[in-house]
Amino acid sequence: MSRMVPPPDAAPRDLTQLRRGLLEHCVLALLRSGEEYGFEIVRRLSECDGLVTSEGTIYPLLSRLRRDGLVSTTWRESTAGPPRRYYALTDRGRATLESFIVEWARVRDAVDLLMKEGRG
Amino acid sequence: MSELTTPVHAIDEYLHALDLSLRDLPSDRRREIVSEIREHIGEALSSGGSEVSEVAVGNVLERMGDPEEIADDARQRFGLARREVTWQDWLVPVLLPFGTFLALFGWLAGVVLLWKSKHFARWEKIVATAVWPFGLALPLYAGAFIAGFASGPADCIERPGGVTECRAETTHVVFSWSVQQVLMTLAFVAPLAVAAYLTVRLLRVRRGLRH
Repeated sequence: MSRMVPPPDAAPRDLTQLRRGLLEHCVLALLRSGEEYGFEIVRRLSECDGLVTSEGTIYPLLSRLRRDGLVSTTWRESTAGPPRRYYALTDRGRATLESFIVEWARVRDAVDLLMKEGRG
Repeated sequence: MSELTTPVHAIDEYLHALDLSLRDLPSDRRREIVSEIREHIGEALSSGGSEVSEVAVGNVLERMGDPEEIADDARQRFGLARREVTWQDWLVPVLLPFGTFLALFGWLAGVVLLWKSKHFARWEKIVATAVWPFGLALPLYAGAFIAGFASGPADCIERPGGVTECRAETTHVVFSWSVQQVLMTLAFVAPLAVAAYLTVRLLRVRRGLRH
């Protein structure tokens, strides 16, 4: 019933979608310097304020990136505890990231400009 | 001992709920996500210190997020349909216990909606269908039938002149009264408990979708 009532402000929902899309590329960017395992990826993303609302959502994202062939995974022994699944960029992932970086810079500059103009 | 087992129980419960919420994902993806999150929780707790307290587990699970929220996010990632809670879903916990009183086929309609719903697991559907056919109408009419049978003709005495006198309270009824009462209470409470459980499930799903 309450679903029919529109939310008081539509911004959070849009922002969630925006964040969801950006997060994907943030993960790719994070892996640019080398392979990393899940816990560490989540920890580093969580350090960025406002990017991750629920840490658990990173794992479906990693799974999706793997299915799309943007990252590959390898099991490695850990010094403590069970073996860990390490994620690494594939060539395809690297290419996707590079094109995103260019596109993102253009979009960000355009949005920033409009936002500044709007403020007068 | 309870300090040790309670946090572990909370983790198991969380992972079970997550597994349940993810059930419409391909099974290999579902297993992968659950096992990765299990390991994340383990690592988060071991890096936090030697003591695994209830508070530490609570914090880790809180940061992890609501299972329904993770599942909703996962569905969007994998291009699966989001599972909105529809008015048909909300009718299920109403029609199952009370449907028969509303219309003759009210309960049956509830069962159809229950099995069509995307929010309940198979075992939940089986239990909800079995407890009870025709909902509260079953114990009500069965109870009336049994009560009528117990204080039936056996307790009536034929008086001269064709007058039949029946005594409502006989030793037979008094003897089985407490057992009967417990059984009848259970018979009435069970479908209501199932309806309450289904409602809570729907509320949780909706809370997960809100994020």
